[in-house]
Amino acid sequence: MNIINQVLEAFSQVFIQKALLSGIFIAVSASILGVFLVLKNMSLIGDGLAHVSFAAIAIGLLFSNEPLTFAIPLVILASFLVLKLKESAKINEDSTIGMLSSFSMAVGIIIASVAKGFNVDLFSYLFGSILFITNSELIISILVSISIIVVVLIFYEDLFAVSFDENFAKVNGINVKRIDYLLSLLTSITIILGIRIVGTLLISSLIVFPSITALQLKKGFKLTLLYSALFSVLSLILGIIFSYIINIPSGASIVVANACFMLITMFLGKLKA
Amino acid sequence: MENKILEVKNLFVDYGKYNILKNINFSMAYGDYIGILGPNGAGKSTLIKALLNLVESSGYINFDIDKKEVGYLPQLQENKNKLFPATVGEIVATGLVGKKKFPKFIKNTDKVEVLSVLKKLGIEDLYNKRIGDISGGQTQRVLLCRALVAKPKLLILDEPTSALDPQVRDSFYKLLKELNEKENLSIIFISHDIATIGRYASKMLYLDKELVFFGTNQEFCDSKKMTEYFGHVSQHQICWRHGHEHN
Repeated sequence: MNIINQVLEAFSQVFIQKALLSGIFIAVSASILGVFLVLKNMSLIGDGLAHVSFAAIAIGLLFSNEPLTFAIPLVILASFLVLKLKESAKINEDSTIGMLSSFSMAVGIIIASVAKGFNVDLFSYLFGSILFITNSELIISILVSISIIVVVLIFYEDLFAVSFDENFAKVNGINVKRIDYLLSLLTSITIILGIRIVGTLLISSLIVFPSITALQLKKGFKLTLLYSALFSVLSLILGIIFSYIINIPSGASIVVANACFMLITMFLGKLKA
Repeated sequence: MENKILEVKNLFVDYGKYNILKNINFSMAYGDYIGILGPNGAGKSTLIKALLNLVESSGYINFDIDKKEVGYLPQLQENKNKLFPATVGEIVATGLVGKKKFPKFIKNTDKVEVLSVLKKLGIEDLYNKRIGDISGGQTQRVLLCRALVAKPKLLILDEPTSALDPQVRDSFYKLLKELNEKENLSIIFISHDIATIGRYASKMLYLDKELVFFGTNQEFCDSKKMTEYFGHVSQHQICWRHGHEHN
């Protein structure tokens, strides 16, 4: 019974409640976008933009107390840069993201070492600190996540058509470029929000893991989106509660929960086949 | 003068300093069924991609119909289809998205249209099946439904039969011929299967970076130029002059 008491105790803590509330919304928007990104072979972009956001947050910390707000336009610009380079076909997307990642990390590290004062702060952005989320951050993450989900729903048919077959979508009169930019924009914003939960180093897991897990179930598209969101939310809740009970970092614990679901569904899928 | 659904003049496609297509000229009447032939690397796919504005080109391309009345069936991407989490119904419905105005939602009336085109091609029982769980021949029919669901006037197909076994391939050809004859659907069909396409298409366009031949099947078979190009024996096979004896 001890464990149940501990779980109940965890749920009764206000900081856990706030973490769960904001986390669930972000987890849903990240996992839904993740399905589109994974199917478009763009899952790496999450990782790349997370690295960019590290530099952006470092720069933001120099100038303000709200580094995340400061980081949003920079990360959006970086995501558009990746698309632009892909369009010009001069450098392929993988390489662009690889270079952008390490370059941004380097910039972030230099800024951090020059401005010694905020090393601790920066550390919390690397690994996330959802348990210390403020009220204003809570409200922002809920509102922004809801907007992202609404935009995805409005453009659902376009996003789906483009993910399945870009050329057909283009011939069919869908503005594929605009949809790509929209997806990048939404991803950039989601990543910035997600940094609060799992940190820049782990954020891409919120995008990739739930989608891969949902894909193992071999369902239609709408159900895949639904399952992706479901696994993401479950992992978040389990991760946060476990991190409270056995006193481990919550971001890492959420990622491990995600990985467990992925392995289980993969294993069950193999059994079925 | 007959009414042209498509006219192409002085079409060039370059890739860097390489000419992929040089000075292509042809026109297509309503109801024409053009088979595009040519060796590998002849620029067949590039030609239709240029027509569909998927690659950059220079020259004159004019459709007499709205661009949205052009249906497209791209080459089969088997690996992608196998893994993609979508049902047949969801995929065919994407054929309707282009014609919709913002915000685009698939309504019940759209589902009726999807079902009716699936029924027409005899695969309505696949509606709820996942695209990864059906055969290559079925996938091709599904993608044909996706191209047909928006009721195109011109259908462009890029080697749709290359991954199919001969029986399935034959029925696919017959299906297209039916659409061409009964519904006056104009068709452009890329094929490397010269002998078969020759039986179904009404005109042949032979491409090898430039336009080598364009004309009716009869003209193709009578053409001295084509006889020189293929050799006497091959051309005989293409034209099915003694094909029936073998069947």
